[in-house]
Amino acid sequence: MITAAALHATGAFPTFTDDDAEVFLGGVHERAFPAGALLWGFGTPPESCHVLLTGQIDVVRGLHPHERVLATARRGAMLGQLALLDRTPRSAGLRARTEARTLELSGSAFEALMRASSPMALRFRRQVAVHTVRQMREASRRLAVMVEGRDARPVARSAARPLPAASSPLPPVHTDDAHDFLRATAAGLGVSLESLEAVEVLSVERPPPREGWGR
Amino acid sequence: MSRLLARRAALRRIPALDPLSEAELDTLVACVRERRLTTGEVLYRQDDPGDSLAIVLEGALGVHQRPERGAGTELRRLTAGEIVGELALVDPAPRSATVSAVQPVVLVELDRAAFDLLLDRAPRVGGLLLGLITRTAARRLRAIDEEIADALGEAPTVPVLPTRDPPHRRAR
Repeated sequence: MITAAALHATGAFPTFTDDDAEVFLGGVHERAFPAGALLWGFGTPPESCHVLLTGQIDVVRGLHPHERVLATARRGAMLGQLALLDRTPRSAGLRARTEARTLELSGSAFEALMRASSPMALRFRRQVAVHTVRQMREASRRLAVMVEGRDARPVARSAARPLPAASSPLPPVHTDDAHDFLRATAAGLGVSLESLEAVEVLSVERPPPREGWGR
Repeated sequence: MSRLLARRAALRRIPALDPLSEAELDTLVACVRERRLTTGEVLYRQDDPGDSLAIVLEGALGVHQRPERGAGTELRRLTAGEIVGELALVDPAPRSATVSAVQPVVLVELDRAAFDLLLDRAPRVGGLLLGLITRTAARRLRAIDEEIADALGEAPTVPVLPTRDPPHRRAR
């Protein structure tokens, strides 16, 4: 049976405390796959995701033995979270490239963690984001090498839809309660009023912010 | 002063932030920093370190890759309500493109320290942003996987039977 120390060693959840790891391990099943085993196929409904403990697993498209390998996951990788995030069929299959061991987290447990706001759940959610962002960047690098050469980069794109009236001016507003809500916000966050950046706009005639703020 | 509430009203109109209550929106408003850009002014420069996101409130930003090398084709335009740079909040990395104002812009920025504060003290707000970031990355990953599959010459994903019609790939 896998221990918290072994989970830490994979690097899959670097911000987990020992207690977090214990909670997580209480909700997963350890699985073993021989080389060549199919974890799931393209287009199948999502039921779980995996964290790779040992071995390598290919992300594949197409029919065996003519599959195309989109990516190869290694120790510490998270696999299968995309379809759980948007509840869509699998966009790719998974096939063990070598003998592999994983921790399988059910879809219902995944969704429960993604909905919860406990510190452990937030650390889990943040790490799901990190895994997904890094997989996207790695895929982007691979595509760039394949298509354009090694210098290309992913293009920043927006997640949000534009406002219905994108070019319309902002509506007029009243200012009486601005101080009150800033004070309430500062109190809610447990920080001083002065530490909130918004306080800066209380003195409107400030010079424009310096270039490169916040970096 | 009115700018503060104008900022709040603009954020309230962003569909991605719909789940936030009024109090939660106030919290977010208090954690962002407003910036105004003149036409041509650069928000993010490609390869610079990234650790903040920006939400456009007014105006428009253009996304370019390697504009200084003369290949400044605009890849994308971002208008009011759109978010850029968000992946850097969870995984800081060099900016993948240069983003600059193509007309006067008002935007708000949220940096990593403020994001961490939100996750710690206002987990519903931080969690909403986290979900937004994750879904954005997931959507892009799917799109890139499609391009990789196309570049590899995708094999059929269902058995193809002899037919007079051309074989179809499974719907993606």
